Amino acid sequence: MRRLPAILFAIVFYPILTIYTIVSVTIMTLYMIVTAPFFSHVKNMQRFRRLIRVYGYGIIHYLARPMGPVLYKAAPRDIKTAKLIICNHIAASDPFLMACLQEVAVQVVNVWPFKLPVWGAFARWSGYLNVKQMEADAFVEACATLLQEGTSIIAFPEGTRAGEKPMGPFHSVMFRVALATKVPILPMCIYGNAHAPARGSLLIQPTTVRVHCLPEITWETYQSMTPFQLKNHVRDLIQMEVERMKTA
Amino acid sequence: MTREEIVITINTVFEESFEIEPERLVPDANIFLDLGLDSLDTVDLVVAIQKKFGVQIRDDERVRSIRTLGDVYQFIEVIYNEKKA
Repeated sequence: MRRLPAILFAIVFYPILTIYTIVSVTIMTLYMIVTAPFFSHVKNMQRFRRLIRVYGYGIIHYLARPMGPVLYKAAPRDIKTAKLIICNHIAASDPFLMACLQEVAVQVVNVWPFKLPVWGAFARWSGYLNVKQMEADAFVEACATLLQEGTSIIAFPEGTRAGEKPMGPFHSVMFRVALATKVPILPMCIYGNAHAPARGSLLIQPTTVRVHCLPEITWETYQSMTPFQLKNHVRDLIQMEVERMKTA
Repeated sequence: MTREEIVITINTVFEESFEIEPERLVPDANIFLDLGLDSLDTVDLVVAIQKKFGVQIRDDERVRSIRTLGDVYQFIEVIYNEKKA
């Protein structure tokens, strides 16, 4: 582990991140206040999610760049189609890596991200879904509404960060959403950020992060599967790709 | 229905509904950690078992304490005997 570069980077990175966040929040808030009256609520939420994506893009491609690149690879797809984006969960940096995607999306999160300063407010304002505080039926309904509006949904069905451990089992609720709404599923695979940062640490170790999007799984392909079969099918696809990424 | 028949029928439910390989269906297997079911999958499991055995177990509090496949066999055996009596 290269601890010294990580400490030196943290000393510079976190103050810059704080300034970047304050400036971004101010600009985003002012922009939204001025322009919100001219758009519908749904449109405003989508616009806000786009701004969050730009904010995240700045962090992963510029602020955190000295610690290594984020290499993104994706199969061709229609970015305008609302879809479920299913991702393995390695570290706290995963939600920021979603800025690689071009889709306007909300993330399904646990309770604790809502409690974070600033980012928690971002999550609430942009309509992120708190899977722990919703009944399964209400959750499926909320997801269906978002997908009908044209908003994609990003989920980490392991429910917790795996770090360097093997990928955990998937929860089935997102796959129940897929079977209920017939939307495409986009498997997204992350590798390389287990120490960016590791659980319980703020240090970002030098690394190359790889993000691969596999070809979409269409309704025609998965319609005959049960939620249990579908979740394991998608998990197996992600697992195989992550294994390939390890040797890339 | 004998204990052996109950075991075979429940294993069939796991094979048909969840496509779990027969060699993984051992009494000590934790249905969450070893077989990969989650709370919503257990609802599907309960429905499939109700259909196979013609029993109502959905609202039975004892379902909540089930952890292993052996617990499922034991629970259904008790339920089945209660129904017969």
